[in-house]
Amino acid sequence: MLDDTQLEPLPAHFGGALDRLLATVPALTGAVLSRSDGFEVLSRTRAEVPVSRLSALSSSMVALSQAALREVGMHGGGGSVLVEGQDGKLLLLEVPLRGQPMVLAAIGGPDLITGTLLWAARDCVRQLIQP
Amino acid sequence: MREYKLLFAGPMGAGKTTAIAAISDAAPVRTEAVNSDRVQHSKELTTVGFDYGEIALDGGDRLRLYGMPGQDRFDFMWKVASEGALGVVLLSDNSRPEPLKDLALYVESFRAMAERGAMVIGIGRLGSGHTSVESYTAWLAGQGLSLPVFTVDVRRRDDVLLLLDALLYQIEAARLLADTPHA
Repeated sequence: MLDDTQLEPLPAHFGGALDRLLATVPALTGAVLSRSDGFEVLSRTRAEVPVSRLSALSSSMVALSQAALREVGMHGGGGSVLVEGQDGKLLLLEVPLRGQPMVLAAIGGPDLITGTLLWAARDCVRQLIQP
Repeated sequence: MREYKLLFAGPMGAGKTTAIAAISDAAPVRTEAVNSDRVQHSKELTTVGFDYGEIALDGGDRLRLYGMPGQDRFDFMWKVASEGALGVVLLSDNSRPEPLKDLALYVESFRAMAERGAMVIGIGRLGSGHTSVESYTAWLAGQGLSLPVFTVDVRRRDDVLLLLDALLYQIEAARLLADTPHA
């Protein structure tokens, strides 16, 4: 059973988008949606995930990756950060919602295929932006 | 060429981004996001990664300036940035209801630098609050710390450079003291 957190009234389709992401990719441990300034707004997890800390880290990492791209003359909008370790993967995707950009964090184990993770998470972002 | 890493820390809205922009030789690297915590501060953007600026010194040396996010949920960034940092400029926003209480978190988080004298305090918006410079000094003394305290307008380059001069002087004095053989 999924543990879910919802801290404030949000567009109804947000929850559905995260639910479908986890249903599509069973190897995902969880997905966390945060504002770009690091506040958690919604999460779906199958295991213990430090949601508030992950939200803050996600916003920093995406902001730093955008800054790095700008420094080399590239536009950072709509970007992503993939962190891989021996125990799994963490994918961070910008969610360019007008007025309040967000970050989607998707966490998975070592068996999670990167291509599957990227495809499903990007589809989730598309659903969040265009219900 | 020597490089010195210095940090700017303090509460949200104290002026860390502005201070670095005021003195950096080139436009600083910024990592700001839309601020959704308007209760904490009314500003539109807030730093979520770090600001980065540089100052070239005479003789080819260089200061590398890192502005920390103010909100404590980003304290992991404070720890990461503290690695290899020579000192920290702590900025206070005196217009906030309890500026000393705000400052306590940062003094504690950067305490290792404070204890070796590698910290200076810059008080912004002094006239908009009720906490005097003497209150800051007395409060620091109560924490067992003796640190330089200045009133500053971080929009003014000279004010920010004064903070850096004081910090570098403090660091050098502490180093000389440590190198002096005890009688």
